[in-house]
Amino acid sequence: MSSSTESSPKSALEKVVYDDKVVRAFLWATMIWGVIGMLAGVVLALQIAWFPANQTEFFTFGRLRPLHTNAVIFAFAGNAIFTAVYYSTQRLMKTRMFNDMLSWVHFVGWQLIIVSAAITLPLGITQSREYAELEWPIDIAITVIWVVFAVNFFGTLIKRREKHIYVAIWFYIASIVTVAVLHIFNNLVVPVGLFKSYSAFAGVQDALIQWWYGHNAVAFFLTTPFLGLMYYFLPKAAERPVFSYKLSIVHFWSLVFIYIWAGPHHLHYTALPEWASTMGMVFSIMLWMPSWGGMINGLFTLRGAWHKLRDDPVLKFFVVGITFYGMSTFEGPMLSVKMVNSLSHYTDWTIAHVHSGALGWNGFMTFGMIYWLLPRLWDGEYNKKLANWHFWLGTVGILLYVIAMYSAGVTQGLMWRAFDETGRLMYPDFMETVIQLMPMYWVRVLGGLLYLSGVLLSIYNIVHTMKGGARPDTEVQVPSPTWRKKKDRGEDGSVGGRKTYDEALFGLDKIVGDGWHRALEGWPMVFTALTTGAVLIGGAVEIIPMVMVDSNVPRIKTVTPYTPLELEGRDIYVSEGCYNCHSQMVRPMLHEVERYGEYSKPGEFVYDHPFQWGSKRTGPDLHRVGGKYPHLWHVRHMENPRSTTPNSIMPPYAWLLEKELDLSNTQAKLEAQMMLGVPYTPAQADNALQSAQDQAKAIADEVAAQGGPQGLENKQIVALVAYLQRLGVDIKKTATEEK
Amino acid sequence: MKREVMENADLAIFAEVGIIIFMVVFLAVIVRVVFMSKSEADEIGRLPLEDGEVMT
Repeated sequence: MSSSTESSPKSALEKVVYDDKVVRAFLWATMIWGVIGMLAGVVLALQIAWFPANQTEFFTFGRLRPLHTNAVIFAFAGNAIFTAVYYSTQRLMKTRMFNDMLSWVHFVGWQLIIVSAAITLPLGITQSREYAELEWPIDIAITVIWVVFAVNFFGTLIKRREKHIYVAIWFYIASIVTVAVLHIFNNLVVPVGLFKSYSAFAGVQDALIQWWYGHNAVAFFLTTPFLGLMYYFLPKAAERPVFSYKLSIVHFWSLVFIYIWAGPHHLHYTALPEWASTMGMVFSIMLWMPSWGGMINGLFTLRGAWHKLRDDPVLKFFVVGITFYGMSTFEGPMLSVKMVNSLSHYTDWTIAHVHSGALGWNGFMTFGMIYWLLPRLWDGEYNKKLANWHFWLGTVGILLYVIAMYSAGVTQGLMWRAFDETGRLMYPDFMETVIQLMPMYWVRVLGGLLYLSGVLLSIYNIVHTMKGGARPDTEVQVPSPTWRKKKDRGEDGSVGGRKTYDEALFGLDKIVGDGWHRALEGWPMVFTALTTGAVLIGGAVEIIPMVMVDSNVPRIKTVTPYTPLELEGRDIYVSEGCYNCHSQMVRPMLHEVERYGEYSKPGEFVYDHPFQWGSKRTGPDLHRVGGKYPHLWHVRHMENPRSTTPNSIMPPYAWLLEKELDLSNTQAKLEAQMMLGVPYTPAQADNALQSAQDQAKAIADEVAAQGGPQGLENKQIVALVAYLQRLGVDIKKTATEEK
Repeated sequence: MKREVMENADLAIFAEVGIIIFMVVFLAVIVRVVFMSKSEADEIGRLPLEDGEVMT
């Protein structure tokens, strides 16, 4: 029996029935969405290696990639988090969840959100904000379901029977609170109808907020909840307590505090004055310490139990998962260093980094937890041999994947910046740098297939285990929570003659009177407030400058708002997910200026709601593509990229030449932009339709005159061409720049 | 590019205040951990292993 029971003055026991049904439901959801998300990943890998794998307008790389990222992050990892939270919170708090109905509303609601994502993203309904692509109605649904989850979770903490709040719960608290803050700030939009909205911020400001979100989503969705999972399930599997509880406290607070600040290393290393940049580097390096403290705490928990690794697949998954946590948290700060970033940014190095974390850390921690849970949730045993096969297929799959992508990333980064002895770009044709990577892209397909096949084995294994039927909900006897009853405490507030930290707080209660009692009962709420404070301070230190920075963007006289047709074309660009493969950001580096033209200025993006800078260059940067080619080149290129660019791996977009251009919302779109401060006049908005039709006609006529297809004036392609031809040209009108 | 924007904004005070708050909290956590009794830490550390006596 527990030591807390032994030390308790009361020996009364209470019966608790844990809700295991909802845990089983979340576990199944984790695995099903995992297979779908990872299958999408393999298809994407194939699409890059072999472009004919882009089939129909709904499953091109640009539309499928957000589906993959959303499925693996929010569906696979999300449901894994909920599995861990619902299983461990009940047991750590020694109480059933606060409300069964809320648990099921959470479960069903979350799955419906994922289904709606799976429907809308292939249809091209997207905000184009990475990992936050879902449109505003779905964002509202996410908010509602997250609140349901939070009420259920915090309700459980309040009615708990265990007075100590174990560190895993701290990580859950930090995750729930911070994800709420991130989600709200990054989804401030002005809707134009049910399926379209414009970001409240533009250009530089929009980019800063998006990447503040992007980084911290990794921190508080893919890191902290999984650390909570680790701190609960690893001791369970190793059958010994965590190596150092004190280290876990330092781990928690320093991680929560530093992580949210180190977020925009995108900002630190390219945007701030030198002294602040240096300070940012110190913060990022500091982040190594808690991360590695956590990794060491995890691995050392196995002290004296390493022999169990030989035949326990659960521990194998955990050990490799934690090792990948260590590797990717070493790599993250390293990639934040300006010199490294200048090489790695926009290349597959970032993809390798992300997947060592996602496949290794998130994936393997999830699988370890699931194998541990199987015989506890169902009346059966899983097949260990198959689980070992899963482990090895997964491990080899990850290694093939990341090694191929490291190799691809470094190769391409070096090729982009290579100059020959005459001072010219050694590989001026972007395609040369793509062809070089093809063998690596095929290795990635193989790695992904191996990883996915391991997951399919685990599905078979789960079904095999289920044959014995579901176990009834676990019933336990736990000590009555005497710590809540004043009469059970000694005069000095101690329980059982010993005085611990919490008991000392009860002593304070005696001094300050009953007013403290409620506060102490609500200790998790106080704790939550402290955590929220830590997160909000970090957030405020970053967000306030972001909001203020708008007035500091140097305006450029010649930069004017998009024409109505260009705006429609931009919406097509967003909808097709072009930003997934093309950046719009020429960095101030010699080789970039040589390759693309004048480097990008902040004042050029002031009307970009949302920004389209991108984060990966599978194809070349497009910020200076305007005016580079005739209209007909773009039409031919979109119809069949190989006709203008031999060896191109871009999918064909022939339907853009056939689908009608919908201008019914153009006026409303201009009016929404006006609300956001874009200086259109009311007359321009009223005349939007006519203006768009006129410009479309002019472009279509020119295409026809150049020998291209006739009658494109009411097709989507003309809008896209109008937008592409506008990109980056305003600044060329004159070099005058004024604040 | 963003550099010029941020330099214009003159926001150094946010970073300075931020690092001071961080140092204060970090030191407080260290003090708390150093003065935490080993028995208390061990007791809390064992919580995952003590889910209660299973009846079924």
